[in-house]
Amino acid sequence: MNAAVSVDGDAETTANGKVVGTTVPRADGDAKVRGIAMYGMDYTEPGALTVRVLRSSVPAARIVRLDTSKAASLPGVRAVATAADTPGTSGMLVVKDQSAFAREDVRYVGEPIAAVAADTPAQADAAVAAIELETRPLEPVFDLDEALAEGTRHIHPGWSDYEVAVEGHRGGNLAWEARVERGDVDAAFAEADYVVTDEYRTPRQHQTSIEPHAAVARYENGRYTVHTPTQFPFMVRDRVAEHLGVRPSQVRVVVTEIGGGFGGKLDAMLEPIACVLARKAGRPVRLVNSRTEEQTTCAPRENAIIRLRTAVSRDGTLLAQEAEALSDNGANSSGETVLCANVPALVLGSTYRIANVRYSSKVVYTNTAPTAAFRGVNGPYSVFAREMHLDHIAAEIGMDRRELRMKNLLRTGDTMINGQELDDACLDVAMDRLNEIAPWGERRSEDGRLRGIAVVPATWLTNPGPSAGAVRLSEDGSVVVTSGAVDIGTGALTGIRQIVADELGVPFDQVLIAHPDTDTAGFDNGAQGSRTTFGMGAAALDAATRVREQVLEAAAGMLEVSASDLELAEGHVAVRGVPDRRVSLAAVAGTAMWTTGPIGSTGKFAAPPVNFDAGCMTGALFTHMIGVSYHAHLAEVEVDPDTGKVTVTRYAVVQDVGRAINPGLIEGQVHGAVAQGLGYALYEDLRLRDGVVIDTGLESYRLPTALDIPPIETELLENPGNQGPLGIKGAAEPPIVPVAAVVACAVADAIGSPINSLPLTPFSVLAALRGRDSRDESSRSG
Amino acid sequence: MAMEFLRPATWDEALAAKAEHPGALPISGGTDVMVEINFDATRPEYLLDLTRIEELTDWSADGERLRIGAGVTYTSLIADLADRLPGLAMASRTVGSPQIRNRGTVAGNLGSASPAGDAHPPLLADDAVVEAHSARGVRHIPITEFYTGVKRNALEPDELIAAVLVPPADGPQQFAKIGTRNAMVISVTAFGLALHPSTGTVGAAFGSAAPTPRRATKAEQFLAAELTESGRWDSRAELDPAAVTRFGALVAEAATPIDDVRGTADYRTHALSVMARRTLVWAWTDYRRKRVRTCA
Ligand SMILES: Cc1cc2nc3c(=O)[nH]c(=O)nc-3n(C[C@H](O)[C@H](O)[C@H](O)COP(=O)(O)OP(=O)(O)OC[C@H]3O[C@@H](n4cnc5c(N)ncnc54)[C@H](O)[C@@H]3O)c2cc1C
Repeated sequence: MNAAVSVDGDAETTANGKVVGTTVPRADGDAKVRGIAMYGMDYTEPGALTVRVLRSSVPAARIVRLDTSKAASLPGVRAVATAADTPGTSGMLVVKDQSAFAREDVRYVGEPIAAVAADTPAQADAAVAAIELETRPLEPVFDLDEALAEGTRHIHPGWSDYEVAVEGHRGGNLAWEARVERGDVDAAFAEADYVVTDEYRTPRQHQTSIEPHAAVARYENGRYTVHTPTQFPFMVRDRVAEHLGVRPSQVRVVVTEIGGGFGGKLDAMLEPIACVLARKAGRPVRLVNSRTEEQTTCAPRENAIIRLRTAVSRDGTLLAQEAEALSDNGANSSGETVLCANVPALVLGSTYRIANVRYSSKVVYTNTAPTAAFRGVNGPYSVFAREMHLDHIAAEIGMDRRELRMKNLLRTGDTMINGQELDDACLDVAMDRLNEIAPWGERRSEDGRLRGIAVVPATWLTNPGPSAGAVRLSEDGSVVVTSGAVDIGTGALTGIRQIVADELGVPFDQVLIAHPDTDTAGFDNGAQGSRTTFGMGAAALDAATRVREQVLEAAAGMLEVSASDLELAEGHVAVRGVPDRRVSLAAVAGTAMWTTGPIGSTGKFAAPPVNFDAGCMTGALFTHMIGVSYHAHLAEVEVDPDTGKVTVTRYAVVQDVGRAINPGLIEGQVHGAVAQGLGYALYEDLRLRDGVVIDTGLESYRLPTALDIPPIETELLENPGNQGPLGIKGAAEPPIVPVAAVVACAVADAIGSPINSLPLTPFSVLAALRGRDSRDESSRSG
Repeated sequence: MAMEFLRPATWDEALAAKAEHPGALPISGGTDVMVEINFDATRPEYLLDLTRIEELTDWSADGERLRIGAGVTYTSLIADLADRLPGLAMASRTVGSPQIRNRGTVAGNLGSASPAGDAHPPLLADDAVVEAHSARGVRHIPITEFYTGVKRNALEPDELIAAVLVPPADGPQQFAKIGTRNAMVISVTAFGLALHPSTGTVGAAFGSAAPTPRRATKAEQFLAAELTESGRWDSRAELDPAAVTRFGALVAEAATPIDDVRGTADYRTHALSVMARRTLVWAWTDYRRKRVRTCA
């Protein structure tokens, strides 16, 4: 474990001229600050038509008649598309149960039924209004438990015919189930001193990127080209092809600047619709979501129910645990919810020692908009449930809340519930460090406000997806990296440039990154799960290492020394110890051009295999963790006893990042993640009533503002991993994971009453306080 | 449908335009109007831009009252008048964000007459008067008669707001607002309090808890009588806790809130009683401290 790194170091290079480990300003920052950057919603093409989508206004119905002939004949209308034009059935990798337009049935309010492309927005609106649609209502299904109950209507009557990537437990309204079972759970429960049972419910949270989804498509030479602000261009390529029933190579995805995504822009949404209309109209088309379409149809974090039952001994040992997690898939599996089905189990069993577990994670169909990945996926609610439940256990056995955690914490060399050994665990170090920053103890108030404190440890992973990249030395001595990795706004590509700059001994600003385009770039698994610096960083470093060898070989000939006597720095190759004997990289590139050929190489990354106990899991698509990082968060809160308003007065994060390539950018990610986590904890709740989203805009869907976020104390620990390049671990996603948990535990501490659902609005906190008061009264009178 | 954009250079031209096109929608800061237009909620035939009329952005002392021109923004009100209109300034500070406060006006808040408008409780508590002009002449509308229904006000179709007349504070004033976050938030409910030692009266009003902003008349009368009868206006003695509670209860009683996307009726009623009690204690503490200062 290295010493904690300073996040406010402003040196642009270290003493040895390296940029890795320094807060280099973001390479994309200037254009974004000046408003010059071209986002997806800014992009258009000459003659582009406007697209408008007819969306379902009911949650569940059979389509009896759909007639677009009148709409098609209106002035300015160039094309109309329906399910007849998108023959494919798609889905996010696992279950293929989604059509781009509703086919026989509509399954959620907002589901696309048809779309039109017209010369003007008004003409497109008029055409949508002229589409004739007749439906017969079907019994809608909204409640997760009810969906799984015997006799409930199946939302996908033909579920058994769907193509699946792997087999798993599924059937009826159960879209997928993952199970983990280890040890002898029943025996442990039989021996326990205490058995503690709880249920937790959490809402949908919307990614709410500033930029809505947008797509501009054209059809030329038998191929589709779509410009889109996507997080995962290769996924969009494959999904568009699947929907349209064409080969992926017939689709080219070009990525614009991205105005935020947070998981909401991993899947194809508007792209298939834009592509089919571009082909039918023979003109480019442009489709941009309204904010209401974003809120009502774009795949938020799933609502969930987690039921926990834990066997504990008098001394606080966690003997066994049972869990049932129900996650709302929405109407189909277009998002990552099925793929992530096993994440609740991994989260429940990755931070504390529990030898015996039986976990079941069920992903459930409902007649609501599909859910999808949002930073931290199932993590925030699983940790919330886990930690509130631990507080309940602590209260039950009369043990200090921190002590209970420290006692059961996984230490170096311990194994998680999947049997994976954590040989670099440092949860205890993170917790101890947090305790130095803000020593544990009761927080008392003198002014009548209720005060509370909590600390929460957490383990998180890095998305293990593969990556390919190419690095070439240009004739002027600069370096160009080509990859399918996108910068979703985290500054991840700045980190890639830093890695390549150091490997090739060139100044940071001499490394450029080509715009992602699936025609020219190698595969990349998308900007998700903090993987860009990790996976793409590894691929870029691999390529740069080979380029370095080519440079040294060419320079060795030019300088007439052995390659092993050469070093790269400041854009030159020099003879070690004789700094005057050097040649510029431009000269090396020029010489190589006509001798060995232009200098350049590809590089690649695949996550190394990890040992774990595959036998304890069924239906798990996330089976283990790669690039494991360790975290500890602290929150102090004040609660107004009369209004229920929660104020977070202090927030501290100690985070293992493996190796900090750019500490300032990581700190920015910690701030953003904590802010989003506070939104989830305190404000955000994408409410639905009878399948209709109530929060159709940002007036009632409350995101936190700068005035709602306390100063965030951040400390980065460098505990290098051995699976990514340079010891790197994913750093951007995890800081959202423990936030709701630590805030809820602190609020529960303040009000002396448990919290079983989110968000902690003034209304719910006041209700909890009143519940406590009435309990107190009844116990006094009784 | 096309919209015509009228840009009168003088107030008289503006009044003439409004007389000629009574359906014209005035636009000041545009922070309400532009939202409506962008969402296609309104499509007026004429937009009447008042921002070229410089005199509207002035404020002045007009006898007993301060005269706040219809173009005075929240930002300038906070900068220039916080000492004389503390309640209105406190409310102004809670409006939207710096950008909104740089453009938004009290007159626009009155024009919209939303039950949730933050300027309304302090205007009601301080007996403001709306100065309405038309080509026909000038009309002074007492603030209690101004709000006529949900988002409706007493302006005639040919009238424009020229100014709001507000007496400068003669005693402590307070404002409290509950929102679901700390900024950029429409109130779940809000409350304004003005104590008037010079007349022995009390102003108390709330927003977002009835179809219009509303005064809590019974609560005002109760507190004024309580302070007068107990001699506290002069003694400045500590408040009787029972009276504080009663005041809160009477304010809550005056409310007829509904459940909506921002909060429940039950929570609003409860929160009003809390805010009424708190603002009263703050205001009274302020009042007592002032005496210490004058005596010293
Ligand atoms: C992001 C955002 C946040 C907001 N936050 C708040 C908040 O916290 N609290 C709050 O109370 N409001 C808030 N608002 C609403 C708005 O800012 C206020 O109502 C503001 O006072 C409107 O003033 P304006 O000058 O912009 O009015 P405009 O939009 O120009 O006009 C509003 C109405 O008044 C009429 N009008 C304007 N001037 C005159 C005149 N001279 N004579 C007659 N009629 C006139 C217009 O025709 C229109 O009907 C917010 C708005 C936005 C967009």
